[in-house]
Amino acid sequence: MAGEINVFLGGENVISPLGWGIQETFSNAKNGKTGLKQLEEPFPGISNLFAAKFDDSSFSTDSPIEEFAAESCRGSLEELHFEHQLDERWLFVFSTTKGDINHLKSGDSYRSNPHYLMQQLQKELPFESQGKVISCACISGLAALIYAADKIAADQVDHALIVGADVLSEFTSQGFESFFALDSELCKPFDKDRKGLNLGEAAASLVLSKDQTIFKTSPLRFLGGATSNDANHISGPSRTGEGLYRAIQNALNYSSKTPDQIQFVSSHGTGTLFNDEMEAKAFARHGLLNTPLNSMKGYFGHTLGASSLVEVAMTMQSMRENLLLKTMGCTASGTETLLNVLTENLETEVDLVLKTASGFGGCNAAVLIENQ
Amino acid sequence: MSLQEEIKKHLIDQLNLEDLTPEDIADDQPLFGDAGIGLDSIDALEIIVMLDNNFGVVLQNPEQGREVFKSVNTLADYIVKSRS
Amino acid sequence: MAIQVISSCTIENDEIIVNGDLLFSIEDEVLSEFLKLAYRHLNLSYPKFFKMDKLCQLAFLGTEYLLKDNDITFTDDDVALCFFNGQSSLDTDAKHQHLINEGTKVSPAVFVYTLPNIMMGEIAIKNKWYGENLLILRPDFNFEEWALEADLLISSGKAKYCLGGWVDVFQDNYQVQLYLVEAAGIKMKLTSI
Repeated sequence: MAGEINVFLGGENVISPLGWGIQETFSNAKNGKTGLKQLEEPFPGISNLFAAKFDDSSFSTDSPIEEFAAESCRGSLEELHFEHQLDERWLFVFSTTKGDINHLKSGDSYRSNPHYLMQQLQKELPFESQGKVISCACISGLAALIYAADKIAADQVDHALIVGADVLSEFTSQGFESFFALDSELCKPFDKDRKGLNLGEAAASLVLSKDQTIFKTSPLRFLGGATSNDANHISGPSRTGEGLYRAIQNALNYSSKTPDQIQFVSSHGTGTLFNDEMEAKAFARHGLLNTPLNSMKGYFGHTLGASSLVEVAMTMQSMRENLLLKTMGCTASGTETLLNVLTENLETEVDLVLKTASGFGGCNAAVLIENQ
Repeated sequence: MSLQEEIKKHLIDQLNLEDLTPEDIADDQPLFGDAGIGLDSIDALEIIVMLDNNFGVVLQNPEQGREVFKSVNTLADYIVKSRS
Repeated sequence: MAIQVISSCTIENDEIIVNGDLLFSIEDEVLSEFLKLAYRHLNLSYPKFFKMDKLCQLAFLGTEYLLKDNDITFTDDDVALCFFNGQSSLDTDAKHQHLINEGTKVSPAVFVYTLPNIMMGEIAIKNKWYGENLLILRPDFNFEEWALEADLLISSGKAKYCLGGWVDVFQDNYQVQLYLVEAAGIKMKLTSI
């Protein structure tokens, strides 16, 4: 995206069972805590589930997701100082896989439609905005980030607030259980003993702007991003990593960067056998074998449409604090192609990071973020 | 109806093998792979559900599927063994 | 930059229309039968079609009919897929939820279709397209707004062509409006050289 307009990123926030707000969440992760735990009989038919779930007492309405997504947005907006910017062109993007899916149990398909939830969140914002819902399985968050950044670079909007959120539901738990995709203990991304993923719920948000003066804290820069499809299978990850390889290649091209300049990779790393192997192949093909890499699924579980924004927000904190987080749950790199999976926190300055995600439907996404 | 025929009917029904009839599937024909009738990983998971719902047989470990799901004959053997 | 429409396809009211020509119609059939017969009419051998949910079948058929007489050779990452959709995968979500509510085992083959972007996966698999994927949920279709997204994907250099538009289904109500577009003026430039 060699446009004239720079896209700045800031105001990152996470509301998760690991912490309320980015500072608490990052600090807890840094201290080796996880939001995952054993849930006894969370849903009928699932005797136990290792997952990240908020306490029900945290919420007062029948729509916890609306509450925690709105809370995340408020936190992001608190990191801005508005002057004339409130009257400029704003884009609001909600990324999710299933939205407020728990309402479907009683047959309420109106409130289960993510578009309804987006409108509820949009109403609370202090500015007029175009509202969009992006739903691309587990790459939804990065797809929203890329979408918003491209809109700013093309001078179609001036600023964007993006928020990703999904809930832990019986709906998705039963589905992943039928895929034998769940680990009954803490997930072990990239470990040779990995058995599957843990599910979680969270919201994450951040602000993109062409105007760096809007941010109270010095922003980072979005360089470029791309999505791709494996064109192979609707649920099974590609055996060659072709789609992810191409998404990374395109993101590098749009950013005018080369793989050797990447100092850290925030991977998708779900902890399933085939996903992690696929990612390892794609990273290896780009020569990223020695680049420090983590998966954050061991802190949050897989929060689906929120996950990649949770991980972008946490990675942005890592860049600000010069501290890369270890891969919770992983003892040692154990994919066929070995990677430099961080098993301990690493204090180091990083200026260029790659964030990737992959999901059902064969979709992949990659973005490059720079500490300017 | 033989057990084999019963299995074929359920496979066609559950896996939406619209263009196949039970006669099209030989008892020892591979179900997966290019030489077979072209089933994939989602079909394998669906066979696990079918075994449970229609035959009361629970496959605890999906890894077992590799051997058990080779053909209609191996499925029939597994069902008979599990029931006895 | 602006875009121009190469082909379009609509599926509604029991009819499939491509570039203004009626290619298939059949009256008084339930949707699932209509979809099967429309597939048979294409003379394809693609048994995976029968495994798809209605949303994917509609997107698949729309794309196949739209490309039927197309003579463009696409390289594998030329085409961006960009879809607008109204009711997400709620038609299939309701089936999955029903199994849960009944207390019966859920079906992996149903669950995998409880995401609206799977339709882009099915199209990508059929055509071996590795390009960009974008899915936006919104209450209705507006061609101008879709064209703006397609234009951005093309003008930013991410794709040469964009295929997509509107695919929506809930129970027996459905609507498909698909377009294949490219940058306007490309052909003129080529012939003027």
